[in-house]
Amino acid sequence: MLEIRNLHARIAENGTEIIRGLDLTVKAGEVAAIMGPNGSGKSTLSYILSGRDGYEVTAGDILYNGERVLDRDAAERAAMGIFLAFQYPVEIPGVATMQFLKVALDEQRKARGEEEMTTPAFMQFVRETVARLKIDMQMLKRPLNVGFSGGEKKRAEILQMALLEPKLCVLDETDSGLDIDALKIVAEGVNALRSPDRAVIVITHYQRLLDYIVPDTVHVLYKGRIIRSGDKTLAHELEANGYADVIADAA
Amino acid sequence: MNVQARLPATDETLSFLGISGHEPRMSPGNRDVQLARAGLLQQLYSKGLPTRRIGSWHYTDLRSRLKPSPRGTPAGAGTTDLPPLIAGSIVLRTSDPIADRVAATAGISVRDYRDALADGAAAAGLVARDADDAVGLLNGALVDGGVMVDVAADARIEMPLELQMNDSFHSRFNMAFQAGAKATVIERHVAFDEDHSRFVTAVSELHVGKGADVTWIILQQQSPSDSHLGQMTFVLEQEATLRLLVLNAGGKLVRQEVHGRQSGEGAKLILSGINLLSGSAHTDVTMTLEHEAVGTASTITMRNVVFDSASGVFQGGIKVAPGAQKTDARMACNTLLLSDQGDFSAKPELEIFADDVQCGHGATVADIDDAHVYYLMARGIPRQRARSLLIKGFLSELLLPIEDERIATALDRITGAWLERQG
Repeated sequence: MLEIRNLHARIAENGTEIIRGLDLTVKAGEVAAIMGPNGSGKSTLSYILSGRDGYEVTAGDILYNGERVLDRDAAERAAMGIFLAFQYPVEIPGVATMQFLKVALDEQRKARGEEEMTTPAFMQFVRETVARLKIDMQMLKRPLNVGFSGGEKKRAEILQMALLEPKLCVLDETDSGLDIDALKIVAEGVNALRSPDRAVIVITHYQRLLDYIVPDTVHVLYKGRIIRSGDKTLAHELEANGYADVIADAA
Repeated sequence: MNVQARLPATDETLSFLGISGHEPRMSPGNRDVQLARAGLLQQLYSKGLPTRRIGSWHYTDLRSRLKPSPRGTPAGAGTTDLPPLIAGSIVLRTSDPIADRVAATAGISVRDYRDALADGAAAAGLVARDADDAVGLLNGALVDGGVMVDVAADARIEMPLELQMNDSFHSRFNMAFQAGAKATVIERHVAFDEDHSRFVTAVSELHVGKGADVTWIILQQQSPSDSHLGQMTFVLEQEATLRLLVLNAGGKLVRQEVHGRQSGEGAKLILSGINLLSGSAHTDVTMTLEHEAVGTASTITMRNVVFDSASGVFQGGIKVAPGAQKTDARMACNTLLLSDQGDFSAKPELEIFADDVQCGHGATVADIDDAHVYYLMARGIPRQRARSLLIKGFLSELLLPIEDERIATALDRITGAWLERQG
């Protein structure tokens, strides 16, 4: 589903190279965890996948279902089925959450040549999903993410994911700032989306989240490259020994 | 003494002032009215239009900017009867203010301003605020129509009143809302003819009685070549509330003045301004507000969106009188500057003569936040739509004080349509 080949990327403004020859393949149905110490390029990778401005790809390619995505902007990629759950969702005053959800769904459907969902059908869909994720419907009447607690923001991200039904979900440190109850709800939300035609990339510092979202593969990102890949036992190994050994092995 | 004999005719004065494109029209009125007009013309003639050297006109040099039209104002001034913004509204048109519908509405009495010009009752009101009050001088000299409305005590007018200058270029709206009255007024200025530039002035005077609750919307959608000078003056009695929304979405040269006095205890003003600027438009909102009584509150918020090489200014002057303790005045001016060629100036002025008050003001200028655009795009919303959503979000807060949802929706639609035209 996703194939990243020898990717090199830098920050456009100052030329700092962050991704330095990254290779990664994620198959449909797979849950891949990307772990790594601070500053290894985890968030940058998520931004480049989702199409954020301000980064330059200097070499390599990203293929999604065999299609190049680097020529597409963030909105086009979203419509193709790529979703990024943000580490820090931004607060947008003046834009009502519900309106935002409807516009996003409508625009994605339009881009894919599908019919718009009727308002009653949309409302029903939202109500069901909200109940499943234990989100207060009142929250959706507020401006997007404004005044949401850390946990509410993360749950709102998972709600968006559940409503937009993407094919490739990238979770950027979704566990940060969550207490254990919120973590479980978020993990349940993600697990509910697991399916043979969908892939999930879980970016995290800690093994803890992977107890709830059990990965098929684990990859260690360091200085912009994948330096080691393995199965879920690799995560336990990292938790027990830290990154030092893996980094030393790769050097 | 024959004053008129020594005065130039209206046309000559206008020509001298450089605004001769104005269609010569009858300036109706009896002898008292003509004398008053002559006095105003004399003032205009002796000083000329204000330049930027005059403090209150510093950001809008009227003498160089007011250059309406090669001759060609539409004949008959276009008596298009526009359907009201909100279906079912009570429409007061300058051509026929006392229509059957109005006469039949309990609690409202209406007089045609032309009758007041004819019998001289209007003469006393044809005065300028001061020597630099170009809007008052021009309107008083040229006024050719208008409406005088009295809303009875405790009357609850459910449907909005809509004011339309359908056959008048220079109008007056004198409105009295008696104690406990509640009403919504839409002062609507719409371009009749995109091919001709017009010079329009509109002066409204409001008296809001004790405990009355008035929502007033100035909806200005003149054509991109029009010059529009507006002036509102209001007095708020004890516990009166005025929610005033100014939406500027048109015009080449626009000056909207608001001069208010909160003379009664506990009087409350919510003034919101949405200024949508594009092309080479220049829009000036100038406010002077006097808190004269104890416990008066004002919330003044301007939100401006600037495209292209448009320019704008907000001058906000608040004066708190010595006895006006517990005054609570808040003023903010926020601008989204979407072009390097555009500009917006904000000039707050506070004069406070009481010691137990809260007065705050602030101004911001920013572009759309890239992080916000990215977030919306990452959810599949194309860039243009994302930007438009964010701009509307920036403005939408100002529509909240409008209780009537139909009006808020209509204004939201106008804002949206304007934004769409900017591409």
